Amino acid sequence: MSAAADRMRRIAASVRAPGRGLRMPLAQGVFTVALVLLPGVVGRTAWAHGDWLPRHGGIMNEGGETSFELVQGARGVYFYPSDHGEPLSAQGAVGKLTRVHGGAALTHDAKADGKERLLVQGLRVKAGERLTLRVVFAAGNIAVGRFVVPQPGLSVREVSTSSASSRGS
Amino acid sequence: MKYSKRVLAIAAGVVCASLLGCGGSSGGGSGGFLGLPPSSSSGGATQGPGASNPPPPAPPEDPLKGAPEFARMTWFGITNWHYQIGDKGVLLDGEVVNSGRDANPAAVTKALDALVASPVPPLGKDAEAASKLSVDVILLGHIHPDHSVQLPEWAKQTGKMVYAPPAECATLVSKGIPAEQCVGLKGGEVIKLGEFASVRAVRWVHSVDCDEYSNGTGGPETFGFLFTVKTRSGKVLSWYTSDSGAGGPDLTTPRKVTTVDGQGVSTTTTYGSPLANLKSAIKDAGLDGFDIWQGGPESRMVYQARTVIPAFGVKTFMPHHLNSRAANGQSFALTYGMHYAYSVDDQPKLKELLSTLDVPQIYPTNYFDAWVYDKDGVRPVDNAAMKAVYGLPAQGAGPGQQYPNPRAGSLECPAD
Repeated sequence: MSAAADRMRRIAASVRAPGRGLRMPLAQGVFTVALVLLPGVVGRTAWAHGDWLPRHGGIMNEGGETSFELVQGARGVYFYPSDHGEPLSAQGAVGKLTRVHGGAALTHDAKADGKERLLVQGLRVKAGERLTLRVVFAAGNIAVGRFVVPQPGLSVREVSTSSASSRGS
Repeated sequence: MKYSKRVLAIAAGVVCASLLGCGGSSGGGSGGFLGLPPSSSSGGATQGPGASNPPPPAPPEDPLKGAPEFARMTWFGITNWHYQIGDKGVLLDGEVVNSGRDANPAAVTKALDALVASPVPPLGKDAEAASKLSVDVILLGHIHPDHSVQLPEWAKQTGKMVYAPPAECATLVSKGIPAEQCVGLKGGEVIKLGEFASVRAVRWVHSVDCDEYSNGTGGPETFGFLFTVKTRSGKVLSWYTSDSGAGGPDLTTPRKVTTVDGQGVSTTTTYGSPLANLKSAIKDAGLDGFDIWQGGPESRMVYQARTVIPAFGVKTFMPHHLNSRAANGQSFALTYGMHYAYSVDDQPKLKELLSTLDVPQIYPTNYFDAWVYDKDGVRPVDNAAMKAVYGLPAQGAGPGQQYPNPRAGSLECPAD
């Protein structure tokens, strides 16, 4: 099992039972788990490199120093950069996303979409794909986020970033 | 008044961390060593009117009479260190919880009590000093939750001076700590620890992962600390403690720091490169290198070691950034013991490099492992009483089960 999937499984094990009013059950997948994360749960999480929880309903990159949260949206795939839980400015950042699936590699451009995220326009990622995002920030530093899209057999569920963005610790 | 004096000292570029041994030392050399004072019993001053055989001149007073014999080092997770140098104790980071966003007063009290109240076996001629540990100075390398959350509580409970990235000083003030109790580091500060020891702040670089690049932006302002201690034997102890593994251009690129004032105006300041900053600190200390490097191994240690070890003649490597990440679901907890062990085999390139350079690795097997560093090198010492406070065995790992390092396989990059 990949480290990302294992991490999401641990998150699922630690999350509170969902209350009424949630739009979907936990069984629908790890993205749903991320959606129901509560600030109280986040507050009990160990703070360490690579252990950060998603704030926008997406998945986090594996390990690494700079964190990226991948969110499948209607316009494409969003990436939210952060440093140990604190958002990093994406303004002026440019990136290159490499997708590997079934031995084939495809690259896509990522561009800043506002201050807090980058967007790969029109892209939909699929389970099992390996993604590497390389971002050059406006100030010149370079960070890399690596993902394995989890849940074989399921595509990444689309989430509403506008509603998810109000969550977080 | 005490704080006013400190502010003046800071302005002069010299920070006096103790009330002893600082006066008149601003122009002193390495370690703030003061010259031989005139002796009232020497020369002709003792000759009486009827003296036919003046007594031989008294031997000059040993200028190192009050110098420590050694430094005692205690590690308690991540990059938490306590260093006792004579009668001065230095705390680094002190992140004893590694969870949550607010300090835990009880956890800090427990750690402080463990450090200063646990009986420590006497060591050498410094038996008295070495059996009384203290916290007199607090250092912070960078602001990240696995290093800095407890810092306001350490400042509050000890009342001692804090030397930290400027943003941490703002945090302390917001928590009710007097502004005068914190010095916002820029790099190059000299913190005097009495007459014979100093700490120099070095603007350094935070960890940078494979294929990444840091020019100081995008992450926290990061500082390493160069310790120098002139011992009674004449030997100058020297160690550098840092927290990262970036090398190559990350080490040689000047650091950019952008700050935003209350009106939203941003200012970017460029400082020296990490490597240049360390060279400058070593030169300022009157040395050409340092003996012990406490660094990494969170990532890419070999990348940094290829430059640092040969450049500064490092004799011993002590990896220390350990157990911040969860392993198999087990998070950092001092009462659990180290939940993953350090293994030299997790970084095969580093292992090979250090072997080639004949630099041994000395690393902890559990929290509150302690060492003495003296003219003969570094050796472990008993610290059972401190460990017992947390229910840890006197030696070795435990009581909790250990798991593989969650970063094993990711600590070195193909290009390193």
